[in-house]
Amino acid sequence: MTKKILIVDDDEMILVALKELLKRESYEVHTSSNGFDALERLKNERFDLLVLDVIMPRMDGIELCRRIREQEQLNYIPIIFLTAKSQEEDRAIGLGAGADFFLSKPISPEKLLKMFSVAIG
Amino acid sequence: MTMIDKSNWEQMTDRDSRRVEETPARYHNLSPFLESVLDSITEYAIIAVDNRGMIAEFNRGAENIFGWEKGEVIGKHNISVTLLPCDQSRDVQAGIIRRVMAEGLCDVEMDRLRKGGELFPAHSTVTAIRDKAGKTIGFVDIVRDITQKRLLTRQREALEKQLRETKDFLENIMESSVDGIVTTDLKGKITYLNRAIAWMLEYPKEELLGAHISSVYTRGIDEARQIMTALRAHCRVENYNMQITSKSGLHLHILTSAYLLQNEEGELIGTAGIFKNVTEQKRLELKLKETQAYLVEASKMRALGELVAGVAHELNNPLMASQTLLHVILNNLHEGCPNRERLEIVRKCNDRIEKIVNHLREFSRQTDIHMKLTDINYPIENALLITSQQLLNHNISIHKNLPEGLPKILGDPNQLEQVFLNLISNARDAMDEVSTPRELTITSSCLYEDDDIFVVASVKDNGIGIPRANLDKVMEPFFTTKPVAKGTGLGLSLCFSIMEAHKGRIEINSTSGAGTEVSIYIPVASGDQRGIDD
Repeated sequence: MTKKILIVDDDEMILVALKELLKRESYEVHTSSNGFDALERLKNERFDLLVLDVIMPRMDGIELCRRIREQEQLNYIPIIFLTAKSQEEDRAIGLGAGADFFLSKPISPEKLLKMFSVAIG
Repeated sequence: MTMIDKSNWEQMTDRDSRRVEETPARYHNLSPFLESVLDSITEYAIIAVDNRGMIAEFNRGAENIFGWEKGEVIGKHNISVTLLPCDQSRDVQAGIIRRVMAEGLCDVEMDRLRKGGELFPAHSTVTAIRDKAGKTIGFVDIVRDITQKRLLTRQREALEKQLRETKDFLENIMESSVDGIVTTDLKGKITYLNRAIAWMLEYPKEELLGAHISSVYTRGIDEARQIMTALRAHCRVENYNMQITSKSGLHLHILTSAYLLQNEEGELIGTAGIFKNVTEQKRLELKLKETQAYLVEASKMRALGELVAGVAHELNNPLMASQTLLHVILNNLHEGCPNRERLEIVRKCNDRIEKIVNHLREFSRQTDIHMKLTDINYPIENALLITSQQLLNHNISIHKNLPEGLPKILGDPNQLEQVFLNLISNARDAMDEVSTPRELTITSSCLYEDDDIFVVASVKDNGIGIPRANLDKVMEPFFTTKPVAKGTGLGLSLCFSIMEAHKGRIEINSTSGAGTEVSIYIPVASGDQRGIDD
């Protein structure tokens, strides 16, 4: 069965690039450009992986991650942070909010794909 | 004038004169003459007495001073009538007579008595009257009223005391002043100096008294001439900055106020100067300035760091999108597509951008020191990564001799990179003006020194070199020979403090005109002597 990935990032270019990359890997890719929209989508749809940016307007990725983890029925979804932040503190905050992985941009496409497949299992 | 009327004094004179004055005519002239002489002496009492003290002569001066009429006393009163009751005992008179007999005369100051009973201070000279045979037949008492003299003496003494007190008072102030006070004569010889200046100069006062003032000036006679010129032009000099040298060779910063000294007639008699020691103040001011400049520099660096971090962060998103899309495109290309090679170059460009962005990010984060086991070549390569293009632009060829497998040091890669950035940028500036092929050589190696093992890294150029006179100054903060706005003079001092934090050191070898080699020595981390042991 095709795995469904939801990517949340306010940068349109990132969304386009990731869509292109993941399409070839036979993932079903959905995108969202802000946290509120993502939460709305999660109410109705089931995803196999969430990829979140950290710095976004109105609701940042950390806050989004916490809200998702607060909902028991969403606890199953693996979450990856993909962010331009790279400091140890940021990593700790991200993982503390309930994410499974914390990846810093830029990251090579090969490595990214590998991490996705690991996360989805 | 009959013989009866003649006073005893005249009779005595008569007797003595008779032999000398052979003609009665001459004696006749002499007697009134002597009398008029005696009476013309109005300020001195001349009293003649016989052996018993009976008054035999009493001149006009005696009348004035003692208040007795001549006629009242001659042959009627004893000399004791002019003495205080307490002195009337024979002892005082006997004492005087004894001295007259022994020494020929007796000078004495004592209180005497006027007719009305009033006391007055008097000076009296007593001599003996002798006959031809040498026998004492009486005495002459010459008395002067010294009331006025006493008064003057007392006034003088009071004045002297006042002067002495004023002098002590002023001297006390001058001596307790913390500022040095010096006076000189017109030739510049020191005529007075207070304790403070002797203390500052570490000389005993006596050694400086009489010495020429220029001997304590650091600039010597030139300084003295300059001050004197200013004094002659303006009569005084205020807040004049100069240096004096102490006995042990310390240079003290002095703020001087000097003025010309004149006597009551308005003639110049010398100069006076007040020396305020501002050495400590100067030192603190300098330190404060350095600290301020350092803080400014540090805050500039912080702002730059934040800016760099922000820029690097902003670059990451588009860079990632670009890399990802490139990856997709490359995967989609059919074999043998001529664009593959071009896209590979684009990918390499992206890789390089990524590397630089990563590096900028690290560089901007160097506020804290994070010591970790580090290969010295790592910060060197990083520094070269940033600067190599710039070096090429300056026509500088880079020679690297960075062997692998050197023992690791405990260091902060970012801070060490900062050191190499500074050294490379100094080398680049040093070669800016040479026309020979410009060469930068960077070497790392391992060095045994006694029981210690060091990693040595050196940056060598063939630039203009450092003049010998500047060699010991280059580490000082803010020392720079670069044009304004080109160098802060902090580079090497920053390197120095970073080296200190690494328990290492910096050595500079330079030949003016031939080039400079700066080497840093960092001890090998204990526990990592792999490179040696292998």
